[in-house]
Amino acid sequence: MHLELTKVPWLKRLLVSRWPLFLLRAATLAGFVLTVVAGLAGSPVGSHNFAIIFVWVAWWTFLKLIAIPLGGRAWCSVCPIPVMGEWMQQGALVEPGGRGLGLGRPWPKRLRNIWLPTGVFAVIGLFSAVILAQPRVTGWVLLGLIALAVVLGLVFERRAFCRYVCPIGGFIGLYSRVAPVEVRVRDRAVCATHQEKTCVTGNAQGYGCPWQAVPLALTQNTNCGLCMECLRSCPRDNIAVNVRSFGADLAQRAGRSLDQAYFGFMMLGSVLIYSTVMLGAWGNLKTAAYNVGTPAWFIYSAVLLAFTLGVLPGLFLLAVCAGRTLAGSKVPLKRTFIAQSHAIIPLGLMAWIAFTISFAFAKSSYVWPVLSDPFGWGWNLFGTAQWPWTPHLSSVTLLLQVLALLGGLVWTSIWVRRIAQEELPERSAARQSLPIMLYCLLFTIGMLWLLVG
Amino acid sequence: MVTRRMKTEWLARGLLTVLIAVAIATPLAARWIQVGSTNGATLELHARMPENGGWSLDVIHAVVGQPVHLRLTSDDVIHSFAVGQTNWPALDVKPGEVVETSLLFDKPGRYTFYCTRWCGPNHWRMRGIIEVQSPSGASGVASLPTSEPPLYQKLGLDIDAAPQLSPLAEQSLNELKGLPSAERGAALHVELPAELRQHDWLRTHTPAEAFSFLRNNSAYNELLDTQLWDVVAFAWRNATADAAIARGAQLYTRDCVACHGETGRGDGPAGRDLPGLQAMMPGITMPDAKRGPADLTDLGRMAGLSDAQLQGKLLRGGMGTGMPEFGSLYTDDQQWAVIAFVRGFVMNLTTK
Repeated sequence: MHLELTKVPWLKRLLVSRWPLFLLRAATLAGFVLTVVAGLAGSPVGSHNFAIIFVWVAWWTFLKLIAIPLGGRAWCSVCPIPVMGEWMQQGALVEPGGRGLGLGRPWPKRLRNIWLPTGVFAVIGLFSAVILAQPRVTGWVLLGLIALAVVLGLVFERRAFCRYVCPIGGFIGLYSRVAPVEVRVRDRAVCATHQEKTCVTGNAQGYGCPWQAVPLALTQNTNCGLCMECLRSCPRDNIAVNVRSFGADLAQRAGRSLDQAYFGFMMLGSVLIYSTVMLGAWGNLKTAAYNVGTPAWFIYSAVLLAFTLGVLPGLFLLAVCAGRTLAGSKVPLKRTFIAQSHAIIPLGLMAWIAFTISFAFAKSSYVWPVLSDPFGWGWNLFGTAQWPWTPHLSSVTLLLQVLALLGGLVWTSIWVRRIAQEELPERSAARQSLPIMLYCLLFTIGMLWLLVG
Repeated sequence: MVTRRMKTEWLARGLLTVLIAVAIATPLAARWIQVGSTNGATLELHARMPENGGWSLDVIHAVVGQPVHLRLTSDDVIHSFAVGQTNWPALDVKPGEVVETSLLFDKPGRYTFYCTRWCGPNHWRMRGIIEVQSPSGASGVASLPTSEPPLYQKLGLDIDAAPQLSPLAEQSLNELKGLPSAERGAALHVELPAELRQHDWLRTHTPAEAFSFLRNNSAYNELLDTQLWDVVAFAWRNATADAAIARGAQLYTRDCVACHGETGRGDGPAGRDLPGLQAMMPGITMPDAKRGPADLTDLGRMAGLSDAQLQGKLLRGGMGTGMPEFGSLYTDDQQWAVIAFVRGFVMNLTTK
């Protein structure tokens, strides 16, 4: 399936225009500020504080259930965290031409990967039980993130924070590969004859790619923030926004790397551990995760890190080795490991979706009281402050979770097989795939046990 | 010359500034108006577990006849707001929700406000003071608003004295097969002596003394010891209104059950780690010198304590044992109601 949205004139005008994006960013920034104020000054009770409910229930759910699966990095294009740094860099809020601030240094070569987001995600994961429950902590974490983004924006060029630091950016980038939206060049030959490459360097109509991507070389969504700058700056009208089939990027061999692979395992491990801690019936585990700094928490942290960064990839490596032996493959182990670890992206995304479903519908009714009383100060702005907690869709939650997990297993299995076939004949590819599919099956059974029982 | 680009930019900057200002200023201004508009007549009181700081106000000042408006909310778990020495119903204070109430005092004095929900291991420490002055401004608020000292103080009782049982009473108790029963006592159709029909006498004597009093009265010679104990139970029941027992049950459930347990055995979950009498009297060898709350079902002990002694224990608290003091909380009626209910653990007070 391939449908070019930019062929629709009014849609293209909308995408090229700077005002819609600016207004969205300004609105999300104002919402962000409101969230920080609520987190720091509002009620310390999480279920009655806008910061907790809108960040960790509404936004986080929206991101995982809708924004990423359907829009890829669409959220990144309106994310409020980097905008202040970017506006300062550019010296303008809307149109290019301002006198910007900042040193504009290149991001260090050694850090041009997503190991740093992997680390930041792991650290946030270690504190997640506290961050998710305490508005003050959420407020400070959000403030810390925006401060970091501003500082990095003033020191380094373009959106280095988004691409190389932001843990959520890493998460979105990984799973944006399966989203059905992409920005790509229409005709590479046109780019080849365009020497100025204004999509990279920028011109009066648009900035050079803030994500430091080269649109000509874009084969996957991970490094494209859907900001539409290249659409504006391309003088040859050679940039297209397309609707495509889900998971199309998984077939792209370029851009597969060990850091991306490891981030994928971090995501698999995190969703398993969060499901265990937050949805499981083990009170001691919850206590350990919550009591930051205690010996129990250190043990929990060590287990989380060892499991996500050691056990899960280790077992996957064993599965890949077993597959190579079964298939008699001569393809280098590292290449197979990295390639196949990209096949489990759908498995991870669907596991996150299943995990999110377990609490999202049940907690969605917290949103209405918080809308009327965002700070827990006894307001009733819209008359919804007293709306009782109602677990929505509880009758279909289990079914949806099972469907998501099984769907993820099937989807990933298809890609395990396809990726194996890139370098092996069909029969060998099937043998190479079997142990990896078994690995995915065991993961799915684990998630089913944790979520469905 | 102002270019179109600059106009656009300034428009965007203005819009952004307004949005950010609204996001910051609106809630803070509204909060300021909310708190400031009442000119200080409304107090905001945050309830927090003692481990998290307890009540946000230690002292509330009030004047007789002038209402105090309170906005209450909890910052952690469910609490409840009650005012000692009154019969005002306790108000639940739920996390993140705001409830409002007004207090109007008709007598000056030092009242205690406290939490009635078992919010944590130190729940009973969650108390504050309401200093109520007379309209003339005279302070005189150093004391409880009650008019006279409690009975145990008037009697000068040593409330830590060991329970007293005569050999005769002790032997008869050992022979009992079950609890003394008010219903069986009533069924005997004996006339209670005048003393056992008087509140004052019953409150200042132990059940064991009542038993001995009956035993030494020739009018009851024909009754067996077990029957006399039933008469004693009937005497206590006879002196207690149904409503008092019901009120006592409510208070016991609210304030005592977490430590003393539903059945009064002293096996409530919150009492497990309390030091008990050993904290007060190290080296004590009394039978109840154990850790944890007192066993209110111990007939031998309870029969040797008068209601006045129980009142003393209730009002003063346990001096390190873990038993809170209820002297600043309970009215006279509430004290005697709880004691009447507690008597039910060792005497079956149910009657038809």
